[in-house]
Amino acid sequence: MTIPQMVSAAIGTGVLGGSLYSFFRHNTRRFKALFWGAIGAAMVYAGFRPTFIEILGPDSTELRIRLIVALLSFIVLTVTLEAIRISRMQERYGFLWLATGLLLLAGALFPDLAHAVEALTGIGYGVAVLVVIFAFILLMLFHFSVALSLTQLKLGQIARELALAEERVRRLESNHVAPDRPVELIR
Amino acid sequence: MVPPKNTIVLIPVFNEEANILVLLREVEEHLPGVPVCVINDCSRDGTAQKLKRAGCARLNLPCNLGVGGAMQAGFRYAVEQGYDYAIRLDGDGQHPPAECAALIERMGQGNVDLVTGSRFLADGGYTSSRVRQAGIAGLSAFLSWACRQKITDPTSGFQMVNRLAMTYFSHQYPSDYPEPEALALLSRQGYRLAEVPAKFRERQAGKSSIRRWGTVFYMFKVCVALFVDRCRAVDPRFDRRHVEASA
Repeated sequence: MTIPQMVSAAIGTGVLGGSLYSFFRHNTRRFKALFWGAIGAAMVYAGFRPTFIEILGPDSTELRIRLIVALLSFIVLTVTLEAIRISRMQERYGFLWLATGLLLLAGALFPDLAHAVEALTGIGYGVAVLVVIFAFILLMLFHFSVALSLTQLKLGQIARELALAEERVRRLESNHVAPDRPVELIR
Repeated sequence: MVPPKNTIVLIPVFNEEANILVLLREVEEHLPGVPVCVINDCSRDGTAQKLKRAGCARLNLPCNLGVGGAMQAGFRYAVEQGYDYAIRLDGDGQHPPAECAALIERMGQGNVDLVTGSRFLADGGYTSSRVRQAGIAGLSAFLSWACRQKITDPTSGFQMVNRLAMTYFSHQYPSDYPEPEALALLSRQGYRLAEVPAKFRERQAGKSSIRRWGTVFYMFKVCVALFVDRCRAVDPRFDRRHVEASA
């Protein structure tokens, strides 16, 4: 057993233990505990069998990329859904994230799909992932520009309305001089 | 020249504590009895206090919107208060209130919705730096073509508008450096424009809010905006013919 393997096994054991503990303590979200538990278990397994990737199929670069992409898109999907759920993000801003996450996940889970795309466009899997991510970033930036412009427009409208209302209040106040002490108003 | 009844003077200001009171006094002198509304575009200096002391109607914008956003607030105010005409003067004192007579006279002749005071039609007076003049010349050529009429001073903010144009501006007014685009929009909606000679002055005190790169950005932004505006559909709610028929 090499040192990295030992480190992996040790950290994995710690993570796994911690997640199991919190799973049964009910003081954290079950889903979160399971997620960390799975990562801990994988680290422990990797400590004892460095070639554990082979349970998924013959080891190759593509398989490794697919694994990473699957994990990445899984994280993107869960984080986005969670953000929408606790209403930190509006649905309309989440759609693009979800669509991209699903697309990447589909490509990683179903190699046939990736191969079909490759046959159609001639783009290999690794490059295709980059193309999808790049397109996503461009779309996202465009989306932000549009949203920013809209927000600025609305901000201007609100600022103008506020200034008009303030002037109207000032005029009302100058007509009815308000007494400083409310006690005198009651008398 | 006495302005028609129901005229208001709109003055957008940004950090003009040195000029504003002088300007207000001048307005009172040359346009006696005409109500004034100052739009304070979130100045960081003592402009707000000066305005308070002057006691005139004022719109204190809670955040800086640029001269376009400020003017739109002014037009909204004028429309809401039922004014029929609005004269715009810049807060830096470039537009002498004494020169308003020419605008008022031209507006009185009718057949026009917006009158601009052009410094290039007048003899003498302050114009601008050489570089800026060259830019203005190019812009003027393009705008004259877009509006199908001669526009000599597209960047002048010295203007008088009637209620029709004011109503349109209160709904839609370009941002950043709005004057050329505003003219193009008006002309596209079927409103009528006119120019009269007017002598400008150099800014009285304080510093201009246009920075060095402002001029370059200005040219670029205005060109893009003018081009895009030509591609836009006419807004039927504010089409001049339609508005006039229903009024």
